[in-house]
Amino acid sequence: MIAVLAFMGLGYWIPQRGTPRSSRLLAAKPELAASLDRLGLDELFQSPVFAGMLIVSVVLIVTVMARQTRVAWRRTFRAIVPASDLMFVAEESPDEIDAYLRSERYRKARVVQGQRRYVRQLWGLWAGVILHAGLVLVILASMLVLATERRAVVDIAVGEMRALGQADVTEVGGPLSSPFSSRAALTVEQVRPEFWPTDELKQVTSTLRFEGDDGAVADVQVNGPVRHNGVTFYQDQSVGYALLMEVERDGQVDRVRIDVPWPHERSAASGGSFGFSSETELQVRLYADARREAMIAIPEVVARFVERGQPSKSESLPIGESVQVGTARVTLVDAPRWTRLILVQSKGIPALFAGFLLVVIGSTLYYTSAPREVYVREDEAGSVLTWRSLRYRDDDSAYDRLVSGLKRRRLQ
Amino acid sequence: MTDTLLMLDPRLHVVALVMYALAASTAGAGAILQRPAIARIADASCWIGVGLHVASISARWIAVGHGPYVTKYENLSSYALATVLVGLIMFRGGHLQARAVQGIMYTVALMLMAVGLYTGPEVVTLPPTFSGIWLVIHVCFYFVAFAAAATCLASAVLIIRNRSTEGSLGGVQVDLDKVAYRFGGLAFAFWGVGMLAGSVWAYHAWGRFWAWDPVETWSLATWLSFGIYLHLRRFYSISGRRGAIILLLCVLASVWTLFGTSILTDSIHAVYFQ
Repeated sequence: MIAVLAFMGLGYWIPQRGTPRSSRLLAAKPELAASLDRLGLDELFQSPVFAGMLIVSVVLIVTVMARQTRVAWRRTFRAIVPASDLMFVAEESPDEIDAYLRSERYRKARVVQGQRRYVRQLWGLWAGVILHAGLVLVILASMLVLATERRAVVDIAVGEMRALGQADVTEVGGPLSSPFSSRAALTVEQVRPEFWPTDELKQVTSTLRFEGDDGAVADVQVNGPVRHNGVTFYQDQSVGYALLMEVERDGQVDRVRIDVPWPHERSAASGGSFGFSSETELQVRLYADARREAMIAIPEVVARFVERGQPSKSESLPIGESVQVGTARVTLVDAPRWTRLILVQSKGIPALFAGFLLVVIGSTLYYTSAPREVYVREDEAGSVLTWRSLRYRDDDSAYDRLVSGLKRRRLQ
Repeated sequence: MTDTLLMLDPRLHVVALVMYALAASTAGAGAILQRPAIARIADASCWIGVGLHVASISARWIAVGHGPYVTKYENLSSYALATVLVGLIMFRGGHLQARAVQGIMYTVALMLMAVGLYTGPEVVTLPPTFSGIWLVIHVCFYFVAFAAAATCLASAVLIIRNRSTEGSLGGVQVDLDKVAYRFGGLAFAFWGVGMLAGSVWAYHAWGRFWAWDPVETWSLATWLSFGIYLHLRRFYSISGRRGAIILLLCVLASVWTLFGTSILTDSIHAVYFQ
């Protein structure tokens, strides 16, 4: 545990790839970032060293589990009378003690070495076994998920069909992951954002149609993924308008698409641009509502050309109309909504969650079920009780309560 | 109605904070002066404070439409309430040594509330990812885990201060080390469940159950720290002052995880808690 903790500290201190700290380091000190990359220090948690540490941890935990299982088995099924300081001589007969112990929720177990054995919450003996089994399952399952996971991020507009596995869909995956099926394709039929009265994003719902044999349709929401043919689709919070334009300049017509995010408030605009060359750029601003009164309305698009650092006059672009913007004729052909979907396929998630459940069960048992046992033998004075806690050996309070309860019962 | 409730919330908060301050001072004074009567005032003032605190949280909940787990103000308030409730319930009617533990816990709670009030009770709408039962389980278990950690803090501080695991106040024999061990185990269990629930929530929200985000990394580190403490205590009998020092480090890790990473690092939680 200490070694894993130290390794985690190293992984936290050294900026890991894909984090904002890593991006800042790359910008500020590219040589250092390159060195870290060469040494593999920027991907510590995906490194064979960390995998090795986890495997060693699994072996150690399994070893501990084996011992815990032997102990739990022995105490459950093959108990022996303990040598315990907590002995009490009672006036009551063993049968009266039996009635009392049952009232204290002790269950009668078998006779051991001529003494009656009573147990309470004996299942608590298995708490450690279950907890550690859960940890083993979690570690192994998470390694399987990491090795087999494939992820892709797709920006897709309404009405657009994208085939999974095609070249413009960037995928990242573990060493044992398989590419997304190239036969699978999906179309977004609708993108419906919802906003709070304060203009903040409340929810995004996209209606997906899965092309292929079944043509199934499903709604995916933020925090409401959809699973189809082994791929899980997640709705990202990114949403906006895909501005599809034709730009006519110098006798040439270019088809341009600019994905602009949804403005963050009704009175503000979001922006995007398309570079024709290093000196020429088409800049657009998008308002959610031309009247600035709502977050969901007919949007207003304003465009201008920037040529050699000189911006032209901004012009409003109604959908379907052609407008002169600077030296170009720009037609806003359409402005469908776009959104971002995250695609994930992996193996091992059910096993991972099963491991979580075992950890929860083990933890719960550990702290709610303190196993105890009482041995009762007949004595000429009455009965001799030998009590033992099977978990907190230094806790005598339960023994004290048992004895005082017996004394109170005697007085009644 | 909404405006009224939002106006009421910080005012009730302030009064609850004052009651907790009274509870902390009377609990501590009672323990130091060995006057049980003074210490009993702590219970009364604390219950009044809890009532006002719950009323405050309820008013805000109704007004903003979501539970108390989105902004810094709401989170700090919830952590404070959990800490007070654990101190009040687990050590109720207790002897003077328990009063000392309560005093420290109530002090922690009122400091959290004071910082929360300082950050401001502005309303933030619920982000799209903040829905579902797993998020609720995630935050609730962390609230209780922190309260258990606060108990560990109180026990550890008293052990180190008293240079003994047994009560030296009021002559009552109390094993603070046992209290620390038990609540360390409780913190470990609840922290673990909170972490796992957070993983399930993250899987449903973002498609990945673990990304070594700073808060995730530190959360796991805190959990492992408590695990190390429990194993050292159980198998190597490292208890008393040494155990208390280790436990203090675990509590510091939990404080950094819950509050430091959200404010000072590029954590995904920081997006919502800035």
